Amino acid sequence: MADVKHLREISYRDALREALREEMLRDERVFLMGEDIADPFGSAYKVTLGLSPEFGTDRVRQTPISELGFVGAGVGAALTGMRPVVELMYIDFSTLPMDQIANQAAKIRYMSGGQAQVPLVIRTQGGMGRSSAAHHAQSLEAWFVHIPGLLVAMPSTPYDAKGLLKTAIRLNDPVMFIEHKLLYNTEGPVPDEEYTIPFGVVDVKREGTDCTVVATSRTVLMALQAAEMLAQEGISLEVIDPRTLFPLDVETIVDSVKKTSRLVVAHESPERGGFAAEVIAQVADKGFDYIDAPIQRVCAPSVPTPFARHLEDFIIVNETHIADRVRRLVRGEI
Amino acid sequence: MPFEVKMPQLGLTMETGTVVNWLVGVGEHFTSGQEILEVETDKATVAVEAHHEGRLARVLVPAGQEAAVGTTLAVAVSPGESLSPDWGLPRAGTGAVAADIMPAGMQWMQTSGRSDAGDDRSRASARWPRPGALQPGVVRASWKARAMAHEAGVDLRTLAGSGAGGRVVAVDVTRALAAPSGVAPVPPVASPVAAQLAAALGLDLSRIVGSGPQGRIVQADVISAASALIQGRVAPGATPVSRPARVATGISGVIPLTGVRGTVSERMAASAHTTARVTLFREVDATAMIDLRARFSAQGTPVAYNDILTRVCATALRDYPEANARMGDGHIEQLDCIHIGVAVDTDRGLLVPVVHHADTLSIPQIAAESARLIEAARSGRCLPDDLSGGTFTITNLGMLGVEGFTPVINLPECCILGVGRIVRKPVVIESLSHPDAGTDEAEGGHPSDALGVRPMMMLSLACDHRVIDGAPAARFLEHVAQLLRDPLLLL
Amino acid sequence: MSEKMADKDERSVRQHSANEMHPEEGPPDDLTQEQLLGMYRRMRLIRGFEDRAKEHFEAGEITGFLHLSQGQEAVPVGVCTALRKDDYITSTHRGHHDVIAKGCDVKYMFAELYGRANGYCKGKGGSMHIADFSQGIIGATGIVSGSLPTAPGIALSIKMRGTDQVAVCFFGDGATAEGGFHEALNLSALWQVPIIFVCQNNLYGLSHPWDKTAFKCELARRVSTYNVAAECTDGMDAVAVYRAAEKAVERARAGGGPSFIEAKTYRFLGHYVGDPALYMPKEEREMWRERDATLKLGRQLRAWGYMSEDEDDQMAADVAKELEEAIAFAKSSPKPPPEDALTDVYGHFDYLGNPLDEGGR
Repeated sequence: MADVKHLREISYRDALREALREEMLRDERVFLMGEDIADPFGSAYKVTLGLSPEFGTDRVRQTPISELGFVGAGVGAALTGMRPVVELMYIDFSTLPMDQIANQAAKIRYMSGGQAQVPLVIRTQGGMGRSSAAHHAQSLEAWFVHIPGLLVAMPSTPYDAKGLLKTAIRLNDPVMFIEHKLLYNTEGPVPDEEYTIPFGVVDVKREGTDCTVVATSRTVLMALQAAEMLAQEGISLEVIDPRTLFPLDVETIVDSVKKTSRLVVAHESPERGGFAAEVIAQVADKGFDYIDAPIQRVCAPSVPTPFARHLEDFIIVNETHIADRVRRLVRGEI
Repeated sequence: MPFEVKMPQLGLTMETGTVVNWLVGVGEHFTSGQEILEVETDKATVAVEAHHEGRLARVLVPAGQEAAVGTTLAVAVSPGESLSPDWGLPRAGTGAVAADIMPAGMQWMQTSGRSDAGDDRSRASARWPRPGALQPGVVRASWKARAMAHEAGVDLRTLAGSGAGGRVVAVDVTRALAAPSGVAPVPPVASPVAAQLAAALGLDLSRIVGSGPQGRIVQADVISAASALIQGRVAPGATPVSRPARVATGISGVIPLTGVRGTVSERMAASAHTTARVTLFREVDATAMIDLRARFSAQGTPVAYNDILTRVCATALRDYPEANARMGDGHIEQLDCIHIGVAVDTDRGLLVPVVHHADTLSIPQIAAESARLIEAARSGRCLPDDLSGGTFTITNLGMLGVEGFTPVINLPECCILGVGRIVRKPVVIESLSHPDAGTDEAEGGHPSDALGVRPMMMLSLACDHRVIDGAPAARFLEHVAQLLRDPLLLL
Repeated sequence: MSEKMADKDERSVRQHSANEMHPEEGPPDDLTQEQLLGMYRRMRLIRGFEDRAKEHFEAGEITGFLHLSQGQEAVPVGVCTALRKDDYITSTHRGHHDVIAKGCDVKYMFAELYGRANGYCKGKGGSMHIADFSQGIIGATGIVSGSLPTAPGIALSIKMRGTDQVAVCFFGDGATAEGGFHEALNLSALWQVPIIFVCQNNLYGLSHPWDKTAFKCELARRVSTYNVAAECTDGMDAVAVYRAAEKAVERARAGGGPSFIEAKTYRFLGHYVGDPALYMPKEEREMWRERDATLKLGRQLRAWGYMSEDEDDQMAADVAKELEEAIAFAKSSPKPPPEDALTDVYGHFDYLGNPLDEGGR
């Protein structure tokens, strides 16, 4: 964020709305579909609030509860000249339109031998912390990273959210754009000026020398808090936010590990088969000679999300979990 | 073919041994050379290696039992084989089951199901190495340490690991590379039972000296290390005799093997175990040395005898570089600098600060430098460079009345000069006018020889015969003696 | 001649809807001779293509799965006669007849089935995923009902862009059991988009019969409750299908919203090549064979004087030759290099996520 003249503190939610609005103004082919997205409700997390009065209910097209139907419609529209941005209210509901996401959107370009493109953005959100229980608290990014043909973005700050969403809308490939329900109210500096963030570039959110932590979405904020805690103890933590899970800029992560020789990967979704495993496999290969201690994952235990607040808190990855693991790693206890 | 594992003869006088521990379970595969059980004799606990590859089929003497040398302790089968259920049983008549027709796997299952076979089913299923014990041949080291060691040509096995579980990590390799005169401590080899016991007692294996083969730490070593911390007991099973009742020995104090004490302890042991030490004794007339010291003192630049000795040794080492060498990894390294360490007794223990490039310094310069070093050593303010890099060491116990001694070589150096006290002794003063003076022919004596009193000082040069032979060491020592007799040769 | 010629006896022709023509009636006045001859030729081309494909699949030259449509050719030919080149269709795993009817060239079809670089999908799609976006063929899909949720989006795109194109969604009776079918109808009606749903009801979803898929269902009646204009037609009569399609197309182009056509038809073969189709009773198969739409149109054309016997034979020979040449073309076409397996995953990145040059694919 160099050479920026005007910075404002705005919320993650407002940053997303600005992105949508700017892209809809820029390109008349961009339109929105989803449940409850028109005013006065303005979508479940209020991201689209204010857009339907400006752009009309054709371009901010509120749908019935037909995830399969309207995601499919997004695919069809994208195939024939439009640039839809479809909202899945909760990523937990992505199971319903999964055929359209994984079999159609992801694969039509390839199966048609490159004849077609699917410039579709599916915006959704996940994450724990609202006592919303097992069907409204998942983080399923690993499923989508695994499907060739999809791009996956997970912004953690308002700046990243706006820049990445604008890019996602301009790309000609289907994007799963995964927000976090507890991030909507967080605030951060966002420039006045027009900017985009390219896919495939990680962000080193804090520099350090003793250990590298790679984290996604809200867990980035946990890692930054852990870094603050550890700094008091003389441990210097480098925090890296991939921002896009695919394409993944693993080279920057390897460069970091060259410097610190220790790696922890942290995310909120369950450990087993999670995105951390992908990062670690790549770093263990490309950064083999730089790793001085066993690579660690700090993730939720592989259980569904429980309802009771204290039970949910027990499994959410927080700054203490991350700090504790880093501490033991740096002290050579692992 | 099934083969038998028998109680080995582990010492000339051994008649019986006790099976301490089976290291493989029934059904488990072992390779030739792998340790498969531990046997205790009256001297030590020893691990017994397998002579052939095989799979343990039946244990006949379980852990805790004694057996005579030559007794079959267990039966094993070659890979791919199985043991028939009636192995070892007296041949029955026609009622015997022809077990050979059954499939191999099923036979084994039948065998191990028998409660009288003495096998430990839980161990049979514990196929992975138990915590703390690695597969033979595996070095626990991080990926980065491996890469660094490979780059630098350092053998990982020579490094002690400071990481979790004794893992060698990057900093261990860095240390080994940065401090070449520091001893890379040989990682202590310990039997699994010794390692487990040490872990249970909270003892650091690297502080325990091993008495087993090749310095291996065995259970008895751990126990004796621990006995410094626990009350001794009368050995169980000791035959009561009519003797005065023995009072159990108590402990009046404990000195932990940490810090300087620990380092010295460890380094002395390592030196004692690895060097082939030969000590050469030579008495010299210290008159010239005393005189030289007086002159410097009169001049206002007082020096100590050690400073003169330092300069003398440094000069001698120039001419005899074979005494300024050190043992590397599979080779002898000849060094191009001369750094002389002088042993200093401090209230924290024995330290050896080093005068670097001693051969380029004058005696007053050496005196100033060593004064600084001694002050720093005594006040605990030595810099790491002050204590490292030495190529030769001088240790002087003369002020404490010691006449001669056999100093421990300061690894990786190959020589150390021990200096004793100066004693006024009656000596034969050779007539200098005699043509044979100072030669071998003078040995037999000459009528013009006279008796005199001279201040004599014993030099004890201990050297590592792996690196330097006796004759060159003697020649070096002779040169040192010559320089001490005639300091003008220093110029 | 490998075409299986059925009995020319017309006693077993059954009338199914008011759209069907009796042979005694004169030629239809809503289709020209040229159009009718074109339809007939295209149906023969489809039939011949399917027969040839089966032959070469069984010879081991074509790999994977082959779901053939002999018997159903009247439906897409009838529909596509009512369409323009810039109209869209989506198709299914059993889609050769749909795409050839819309305009696919059998040369590039065979090249695709043979996995060649100049197949419609460069060898990467295969039988179940054939697409030609330049002719509005948005692609077949291997998932039953896979294109049902997509097609209303195509129609929505038309409406938002303000053109008078239409979107046709071909699917079978089996797909009507999937949730996406219902969501598609509902959204299409809500949005009033220019879409035509064409259900080729061949009475079987793989081995599962229609009357066990939906309880006492008349599809047109069921669909009409979604407030989508729905009609049932004889899928074994190309002209009848055309007429139903023409109505739907007019409605769509005029902004009248979605339509649904159920075309009753039959596949003469099993679900896939290799399926012995034991679940299809012999009498039923024979009955439908007698209603062969291609043969029927041929008979009608000759009856109307639009085509002589010689011309009929000549056309047969032409079609056969076209197909032979297409197969020869396919067999002599280059195979794509193995590295092509790694391309066309994304537009902006390679399959590993490295950025591609602008314009690179």
